[in-house]
Amino acid sequence: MARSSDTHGNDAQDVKGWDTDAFWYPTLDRHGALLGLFFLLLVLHFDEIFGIAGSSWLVFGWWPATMAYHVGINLLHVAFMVLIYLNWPEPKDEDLDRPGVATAETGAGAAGTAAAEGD
Amino acid sequence: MAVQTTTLAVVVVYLLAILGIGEYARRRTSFDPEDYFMASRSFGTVVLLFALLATNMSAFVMVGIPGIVYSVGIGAYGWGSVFFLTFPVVFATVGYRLWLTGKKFGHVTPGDLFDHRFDSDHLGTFVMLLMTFWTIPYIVAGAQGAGNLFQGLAGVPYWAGALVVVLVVFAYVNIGGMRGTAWTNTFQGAVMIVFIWALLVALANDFGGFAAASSATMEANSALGSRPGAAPVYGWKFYFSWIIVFGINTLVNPHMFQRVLPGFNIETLKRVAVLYPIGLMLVWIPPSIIGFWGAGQVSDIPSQDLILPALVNGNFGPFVGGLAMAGILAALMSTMDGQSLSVSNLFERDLVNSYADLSPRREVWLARLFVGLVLAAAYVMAYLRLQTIVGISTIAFTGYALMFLPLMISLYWRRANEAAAWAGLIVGFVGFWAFEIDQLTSLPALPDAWTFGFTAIVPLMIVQILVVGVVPYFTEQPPAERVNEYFDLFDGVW
Repeated sequence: MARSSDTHGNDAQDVKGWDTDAFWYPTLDRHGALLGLFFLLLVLHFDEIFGIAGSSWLVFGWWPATMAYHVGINLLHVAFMVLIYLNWPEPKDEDLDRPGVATAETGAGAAGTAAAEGD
Repeated sequence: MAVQTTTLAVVVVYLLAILGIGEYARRRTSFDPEDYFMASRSFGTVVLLFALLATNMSAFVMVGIPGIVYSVGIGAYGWGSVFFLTFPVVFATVGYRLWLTGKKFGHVTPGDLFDHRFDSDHLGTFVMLLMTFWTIPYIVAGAQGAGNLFQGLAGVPYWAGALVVVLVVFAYVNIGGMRGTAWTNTFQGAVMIVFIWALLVALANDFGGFAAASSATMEANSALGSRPGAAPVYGWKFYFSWIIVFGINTLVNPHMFQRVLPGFNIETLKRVAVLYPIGLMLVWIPPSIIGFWGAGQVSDIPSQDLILPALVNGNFGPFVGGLAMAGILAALMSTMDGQSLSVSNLFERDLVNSYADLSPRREVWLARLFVGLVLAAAYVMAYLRLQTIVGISTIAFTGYALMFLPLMISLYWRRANEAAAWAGLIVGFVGFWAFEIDQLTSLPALPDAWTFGFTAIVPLMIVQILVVGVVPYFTEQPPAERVNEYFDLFDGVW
């Protein structure tokens, strides 16, 4: 028997016993986890605000360490964007996922059909 | 300082190359507004990435960042580079919804989105006026940076240097439209990155290596090597305020917004989101270190904005000076072109098109004329030099950031309506000037104590959230079918 699923990809059996209306429910899916990771990265970036394990003193007293710390965090940003890429929700309207196509309703922003430049 | 003919010759070659690309783009561009303003929605990953990156990286990065690090210390890189996380995330989420609306409804300008989403007649015009208001000073910052460069590196008077750059930008924007600016931006982005890394290595070599260059700075002022850094000491409230501004303002820049809205292929959009922080690192790291080293080499300059030209002048001959100028001009001009083109598009589409029925050919001609008027106004303001480059840029950034919430509610909140958008935009604009009016006039501003140690963005956004959150419960909603069109489109999208 086919089972319908919610916007998180969970069907009724998967969420049995869970309060799907609760404010924390969206954090259970991958998009919610990414949001949590995003805030964790912000915290790391602004360690001097939050003072994780005294690392403000450790890291920010010597300039090469300061720079290396920030560049390291920047590389985590790149890794995070790779996760975003891998979890990117595809548009449901397949017509939208084509280059140079617009279904203009509002006037002059009409469809262009030129091939992509620069790929 | 005498005129440096070798330096000027290198710069002339660079400017001619830019004009050549603009002319080549002209041959591929028609008099159709869709082609002139949107390049027929035809860019791939490389061109879109550079079109966004180069237009995003302005005088603020190549002239302003070395200046800030020079006076505050290396920690300034830290507070700035939070942008490498926040903007790509905003781009991948809010930008994705914008992309979807551009594809589905054919929106070209922010005004199109606001008018259509909220079923409004004049909200788009108001958005256009606000965006133009914040963008023109930003173009001024570019012209000022150009004037400083010509004066500092080539011995050409400030007014003449700014004028040359404004005229060249006018020429290639005018003839090449969006395609011309995107192609020149690709070239300019490459020039910018190659130049700034080459300069970093060359300066390190000149100063006796990375360690020696850094030691010289630490001996001059050891506070520059740590956070919070040298005076003025920036506390966490300052950093927190700028997390918000840097993260949210960029997408609202019309020259950025407009390059996301047209769409392109979704795979292109996804790749650009991943590659963007790498591009930012490539562009931000060298000027930050150069500014840091500058503090150990140059102790007395009239303005922190001049540290990079001062280092080039003091350590290299006129040929390298010319390459340095080309690299920095690439950053300045690639922002000025996108800004002037997008402001003229806003003018043509959100103002003229709303009140007059012109042929496509006339639309393009009128937009070209407006590009000239915008650049002329920017030149006059740059000539007067009312603010530093960083000062102008940060005012514009905050202004844009205060337009973000109305944009967010249009894309993320079903209940949002036209009245809430008007209220949010007005609160942001009036509130900003209530705090900053004393910078431009003798009128009294709201006391600094009202920001509670943050910058004005924090209290103003709290007020905006309250106002925008309450107004829709007491005012008319847009048609349900219109709202459903948008939120059906966003179903399952972050």
